[in-house]
Amino acid sequence: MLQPRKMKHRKQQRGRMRGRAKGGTTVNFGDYGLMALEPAWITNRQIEAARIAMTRHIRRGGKVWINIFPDKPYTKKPAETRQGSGKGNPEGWVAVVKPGRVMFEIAGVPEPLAREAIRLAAHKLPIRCKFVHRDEPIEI
Amino acid sequence: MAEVRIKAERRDEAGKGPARRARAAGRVPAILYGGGMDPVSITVDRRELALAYHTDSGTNVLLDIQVDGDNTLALTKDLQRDPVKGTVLHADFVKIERNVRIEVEVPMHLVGESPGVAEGGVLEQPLHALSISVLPGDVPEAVDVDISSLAIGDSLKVADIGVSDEYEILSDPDATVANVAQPISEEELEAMEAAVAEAEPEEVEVEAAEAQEEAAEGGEEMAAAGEPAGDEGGDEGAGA
Repeated sequence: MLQPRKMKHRKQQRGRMRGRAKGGTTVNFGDYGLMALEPAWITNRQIEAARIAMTRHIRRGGKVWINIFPDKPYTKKPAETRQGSGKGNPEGWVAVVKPGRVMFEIAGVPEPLAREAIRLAAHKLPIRCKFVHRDEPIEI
Repeated sequence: MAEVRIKAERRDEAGKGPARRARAAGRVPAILYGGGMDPVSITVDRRELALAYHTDSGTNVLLDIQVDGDNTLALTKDLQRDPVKGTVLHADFVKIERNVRIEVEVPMHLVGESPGVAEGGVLEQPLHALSISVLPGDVPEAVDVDISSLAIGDSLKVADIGVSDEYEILSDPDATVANVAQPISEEELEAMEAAVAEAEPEEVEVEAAEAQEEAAEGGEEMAAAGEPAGDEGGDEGAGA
């Protein structure tokens, strides 16, 4: 499962997710991609589940790229604990995703197969997503 | 190559406020520069511009931009697009001359049937656009790359693309355009399909100085948690 090899600080502040993605908004490596339409924290388990869903569907053909990396630790206080006494313990890893971010890319498969694989992957994520092409036409 | 005439209006106000007002009014803020001319801030009709890009030339279409009665031949240098909606937020047009070569990126289309793919290989295309130097009137819509000679394990480089009289290729000759990779084996597929084990966040190494600091803090927290804190207070410090 994706996670950093080492980190500078064990815990991070949560931050806010305002605005849209600044980079990684186009399909760069593959032919098709999965774009986020909402901001969210995507956990490494969700990324892994989406990857497995895509790989299982396309079988031996094609290639999958993961463009996001869960490098932010999130913390959680133990159950039935009173408030206070400092920040909770690191519980897992998340990638901060903003609208417009292409999270996964796929290549080497026909479009219907890619669409279905990406649809299955989107069901593993906690946000609304859309299927995108390499050369998205300009909206009229 | 397609050539489209679009009307533009000079834009006197700069900044996000006027730009947003222009967008709300169905216009796209843009700038026209290059070829020794002073840069001119303009706006163009959003629909007119989008239609211009719907020719077979895509964004490489030649634009005949009419500003205050003067016509300028231009090419799109850069497009800022809304990442979600895909609409154009701003455009950069660069002035060109009909008899001066320009540098453009044209898409590459793979044509032909590769025997490697027929045998089950996976066709990969690391490079999708080719940088070329060409006269404005001769810009091809796309460059066709024949992959009918590619067997499993073979690759095609930029140097292998046929030379044309009309354009000169500027991309790195050693860059790989396409290759047919070995299909993954059943064992590899099983390994890819299997979930990867997750390490505990606690196991990730914290850089040295921080680790010491954390250890010191952890000790303090433990001591604080050890103080009488009413009911169930002991749980809080357990994992700190």
